[in-house]
Amino acid sequence: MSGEVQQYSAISIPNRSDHLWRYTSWQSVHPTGDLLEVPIIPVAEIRLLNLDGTLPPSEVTFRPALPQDLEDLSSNALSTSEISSVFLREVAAGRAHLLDIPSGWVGSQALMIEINALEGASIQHLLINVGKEAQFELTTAIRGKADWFGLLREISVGKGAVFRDLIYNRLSSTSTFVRNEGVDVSRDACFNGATLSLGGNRLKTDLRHELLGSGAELSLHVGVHGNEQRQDDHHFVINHPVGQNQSKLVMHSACDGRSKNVGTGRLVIAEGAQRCDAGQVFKNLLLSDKAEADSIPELEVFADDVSAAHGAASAPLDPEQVFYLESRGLGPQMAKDLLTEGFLMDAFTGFKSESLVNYLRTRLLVHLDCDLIE
Amino acid sequence: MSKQGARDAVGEYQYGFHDPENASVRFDKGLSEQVVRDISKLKNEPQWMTDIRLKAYHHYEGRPMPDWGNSEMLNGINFDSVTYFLRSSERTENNWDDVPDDIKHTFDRLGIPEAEQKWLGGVTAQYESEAVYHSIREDLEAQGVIFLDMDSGLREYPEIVKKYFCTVVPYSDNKFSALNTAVWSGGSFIYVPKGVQVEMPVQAYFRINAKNMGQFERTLIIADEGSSINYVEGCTAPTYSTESLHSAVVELIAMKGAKIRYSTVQNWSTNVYNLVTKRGVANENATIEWIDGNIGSKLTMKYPAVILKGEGAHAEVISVAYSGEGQHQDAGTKIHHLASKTTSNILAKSISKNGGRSSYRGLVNVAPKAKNCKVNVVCDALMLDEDSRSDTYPTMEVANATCNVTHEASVSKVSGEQLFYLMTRGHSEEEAMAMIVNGFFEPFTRELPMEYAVELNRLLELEMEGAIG
Amino acid sequence: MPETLLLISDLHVSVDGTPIIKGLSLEIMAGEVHAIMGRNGAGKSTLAYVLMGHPAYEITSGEIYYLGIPLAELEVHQRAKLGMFLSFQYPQAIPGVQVGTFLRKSVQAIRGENAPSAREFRVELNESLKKLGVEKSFLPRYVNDGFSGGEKKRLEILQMLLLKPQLAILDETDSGLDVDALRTVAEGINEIAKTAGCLIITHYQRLLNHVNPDYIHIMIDGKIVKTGEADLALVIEEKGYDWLEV
Repeated sequence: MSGEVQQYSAISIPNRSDHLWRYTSWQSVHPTGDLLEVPIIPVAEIRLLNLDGTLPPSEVTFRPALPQDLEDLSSNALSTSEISSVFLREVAAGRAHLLDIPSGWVGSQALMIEINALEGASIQHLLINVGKEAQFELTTAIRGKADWFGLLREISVGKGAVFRDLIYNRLSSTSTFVRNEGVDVSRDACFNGATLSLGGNRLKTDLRHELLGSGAELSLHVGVHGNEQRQDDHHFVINHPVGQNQSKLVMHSACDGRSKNVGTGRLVIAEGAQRCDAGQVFKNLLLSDKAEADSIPELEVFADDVSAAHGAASAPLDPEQVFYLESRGLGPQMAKDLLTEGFLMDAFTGFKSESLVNYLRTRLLVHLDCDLIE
Repeated sequence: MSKQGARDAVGEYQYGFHDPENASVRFDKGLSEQVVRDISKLKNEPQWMTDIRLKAYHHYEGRPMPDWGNSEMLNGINFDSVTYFLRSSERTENNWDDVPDDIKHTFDRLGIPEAEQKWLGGVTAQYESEAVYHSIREDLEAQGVIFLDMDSGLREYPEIVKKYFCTVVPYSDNKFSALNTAVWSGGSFIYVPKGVQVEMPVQAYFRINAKNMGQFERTLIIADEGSSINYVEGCTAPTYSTESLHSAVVELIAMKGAKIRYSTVQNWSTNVYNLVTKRGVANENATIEWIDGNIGSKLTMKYPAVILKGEGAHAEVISVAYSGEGQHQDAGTKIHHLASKTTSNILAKSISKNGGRSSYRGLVNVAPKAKNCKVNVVCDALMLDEDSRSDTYPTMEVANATCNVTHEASVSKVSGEQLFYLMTRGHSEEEAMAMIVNGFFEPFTRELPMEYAVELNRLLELEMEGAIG
Repeated sequence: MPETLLLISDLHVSVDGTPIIKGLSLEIMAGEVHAIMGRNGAGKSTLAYVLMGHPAYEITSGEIYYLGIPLAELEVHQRAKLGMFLSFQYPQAIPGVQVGTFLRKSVQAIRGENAPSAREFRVELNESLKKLGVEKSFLPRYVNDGFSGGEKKRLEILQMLLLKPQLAILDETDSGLDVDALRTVAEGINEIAKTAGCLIITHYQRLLNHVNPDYIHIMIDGKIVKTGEADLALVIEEKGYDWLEV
């Protein structure tokens, strides 16, 4: 974090006029509801594997973080004063895990972090350091029966490195999930982040990104399946403090049942950050009259030689697509299911890891075909 | 038009001249319950209006400043140095010749009432707090159209005013609507009877002439079933070194099948705070259109709103904002889709130059019961240099599955290729820039009456002077 | 004795209140290939859509029977399950849905209990791909998303081969195709025509060089104005439609 980190006790509880908390109150995602309290919460189970289930290569370090790691790898992008980040940091109380990828290392297959959020409340604080010019892919699968799970990640992508990252959650349908993240992308580095948000009941996600050097590239792909009573609130901040870099954000929310789906993005292009290319797209597929979709794609541009486009669209199923599928024999429900699947998968078009896209497609199909029938 | 031509046509902030103040009644600076009572008493208002003013005053006192937007500028307003009421003329005249000479002189310089003779259905000219000149074409009067300044409206049609006043914009809506309700003076009151189509635009012109003056006009337009009206307002102020406050409230009511178009070109000088609440209610199959141009002022915060209350109602908002040095145009629109088959179309364009800041702040809300609604929002920003800033804060809240909502936004700069192309056709760089800027605003200007469009283009050409570093 | 597949009598169809088809009658027996020719705007595509049950098209009067069942009673997917197939002039893109998944789901839906097992399906699919000269790399792509015109039409024919319809309606399947693609499409049609009825909608004669229609109907302003045999297409190629207008 850049600058002095505030104390949780010194931060006033945000109200609805605060943009970030307009749709989901801090009270509703706090683990105990006693807002003055920083509770003592155990660390969730965590382990590292290869995606195929074998043990990870020896070049990769995965161990509890030392105080020095916490200091060295503190993310610039993470806010020092925003209530949930500060809270998660204090709850984790230094009990972090470090994944360290050595410079120049090129992974031959994706790694997988499995997190089991234990019953009751649990937390995980992860530091990910990608050494310069390393290249690797990671999927983090979060499951478990926790009432409350907090995840704080601080990610540093070194110069010229390429990191493709997928987070997929299938927490139980009663869980509250608070996720905060700071990602620093160095010069000529590339961070591709994907989130497939399927599980949990109430989710508050706040992801912050800083493109620290020119030539840096960021793309974020998010698919949210809103069904039943699910409330999923994603906030993104993408900062372009310097010029000549690119960012892209695509979020697709399928809004079904009585779900509430929120996507707010804040794209900031600083003064003098010329020739940045930045785009944001929020799409909501409206599947039920009882569901709600709220989008705020914010844009703050201080430089003049940039390309910054953003858009948001909310629409029901396209009747022409439904007709096309029905003419191939699919009944109305099957047509809806297939179009929902396609809509969610389409959020990951352009995510450059074939193995991770295949992985998340399988997870999505399992979710749509099996989980929801339970 | 050549650069010199533009300068000749517009002058140095063309409307920056000021006439000596010849006020017949002037209140001390600052606001108190007594000032509010005195304004009401001076106007001989009915008790209910005095009561509303006082309630609004107390609400204003207790209400904190908004904590969003440009807080730095907002907190810079010194409310104690503002004069809340100033009467320049003892009564409202119907004959231009009877208007006091100095005021007539001012409006002559602004091109009123020649404009009226040429193309307007009616004119109200407001100087400081109250209307000084008012006229309406006889044929409209014969059709039962009421077009008065708001004070006369309250005097002559108290039952209509009482029925609608504060129903669209409650005084408790925001700090500035409370302030306006407490100290309002002047503005327009229009009632268009059932089925009457007012084809000629009617116009109001507002001018602040005194220093440290607050202008708080209040406008209420009611278009009865199947009627239509096109209302145009223009605003200017002279350039003083001290700041003025303009805080208007506009309420529109479009009954079943009625249509109201409300066009504004605001060219306040760059030390005016322009904090305005504008809102309309559109009933079944009614249309409300806001055509909103913000060129002047130091800080504008204005979000014309439409409540689509009846099935099939439509809202159309076209706005442009120009922010030069030291200016912040914080504008946008709010549309509430409360009924089914309602549609809205929003086009917002902004230009920032010399460190100016343009913000689009919008809200589109589709209620759970509003089925088959269509919403289309487009925001385009053009940045002319690297010191400027453009922000977009669009909020979309959709609560049912039958509507189509789209939002698109882009930020761009004037392309070197475009400039080059125009220059190869014999235009100087400044002319080419002015041409591109005018072209960028064209979707807005083509909706304005001709005279306004021409004036706007000239203003923009002038603004482009020295734009090329 | 051949069975009547499709029977249309005095059909009138409107779109948004505008009449498009104004009294059209047609009978197609199993194993027959019919071609409908006519200019743009004659109502040919409307006929295709209305047969498949597109909700925007309203039958104002007249009857359509498919296999003796009044079509009006059937949902779109029920028509498909009963063996009707429409090859779209402008197939929909469905980003996010892979071609392979889409084909498998369609085959399962339409062939129901008789659907092939996964292994059989793979064999069938490979054969069809080969027949049409389509690469396997087609399968993981998203349905019609970023496809060229020719690729879209090939995918339509691929679906037709896999779904094995009893009545295939091909709406301008030949437009925008190069000669190779045209031949591929024609082979697909000939394959299906061995057992099924075919209704080919076109305004070119060139596809008809490769398939042999039993009947050619000329459609002008929502009606069939002339019916003839294969050589009628050649007359149209030579003389155009003007001589048929009243």
